[in-house]
Amino acid sequence: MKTIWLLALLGIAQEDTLARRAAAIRPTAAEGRWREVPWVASLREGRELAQREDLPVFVWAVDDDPLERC
Amino acid sequence: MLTDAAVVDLLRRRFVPVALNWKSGAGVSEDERRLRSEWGLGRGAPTGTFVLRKDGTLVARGGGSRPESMAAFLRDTLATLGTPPERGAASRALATDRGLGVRSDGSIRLALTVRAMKDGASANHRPMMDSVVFMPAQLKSLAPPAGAARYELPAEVAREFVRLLTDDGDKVYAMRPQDATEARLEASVEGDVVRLSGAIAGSRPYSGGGTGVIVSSGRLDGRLSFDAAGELQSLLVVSDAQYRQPWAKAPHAVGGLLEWRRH
Repeated sequence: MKTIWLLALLGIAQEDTLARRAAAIRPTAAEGRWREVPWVASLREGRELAQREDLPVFVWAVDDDPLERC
Repeated sequence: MLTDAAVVDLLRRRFVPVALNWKSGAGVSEDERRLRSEWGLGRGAPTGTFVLRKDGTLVARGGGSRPESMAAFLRDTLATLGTPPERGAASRALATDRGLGVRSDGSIRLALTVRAMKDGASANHRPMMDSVVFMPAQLKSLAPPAGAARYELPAEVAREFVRLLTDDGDKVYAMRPQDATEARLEASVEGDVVRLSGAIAGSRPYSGGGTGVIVSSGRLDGRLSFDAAGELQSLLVVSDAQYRQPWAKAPHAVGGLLEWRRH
């Protein structure tokens, strides 16, 4: 019985440690703020929106998929 | 720079923000290709940030990597344009399958975060965020064999975890499965929970120029939960590693996090 309790306590301690380590790495709300930007992934769609709303276009171009990666 | 509140606010209210992938031609329609070319953003165009009028004429390029310089760049271009109207566009849900649910082809997309660490806490506010996709066969191989109390993950699946080893955003620094020099992950079964632990390491030549080598190695711990049918319900993996950039004299500590849940 004592062994079972010790194993259970060990499991809880492992969970706590893992959760604490994960929390230290997980992005904060501020670090995920870029997701609030209403990105579109095609210039065609961007042009349509810009013409409809009379706005300039901001293009972020990388050698990768910016939205997939992030 | 794109996490800065002022920059995000300006992009939301004053621009139509477009994110483009120069490298991949896959999924790019002929119309899109033609338009990019007409707007000077076709094949061979540099990476970076650009502001264009709605007719495609270039207003400015640049902005730098610092939040203040990007905010100033955006304000300057708005002044050049005579301050266009404000917009009330809502943000769009991006990559809704990242870290959540099973995709239509049975694969899952794990949310990956890697960041520089110091004394167990984040060393800066520049986490590297990415995704790791596990195909159905890889997913299946995570589950314990019937009756097993301990088992080892197949090498081809264990190698996927080297993605936790580097915190630089550009993919030329990303450790790929084929770069793994060590990937031994042991699993122990405790009811419907599987605990994972092991060592991972990788090395790859730096393709960005010079003769540098990217090296990283570390320890990994995780927790996987399964339902009665043996289907993965959640995954949480963290790692501690030492990552040496190709130009660095010494490695720095990085913490990696890989997470996913079915519901």
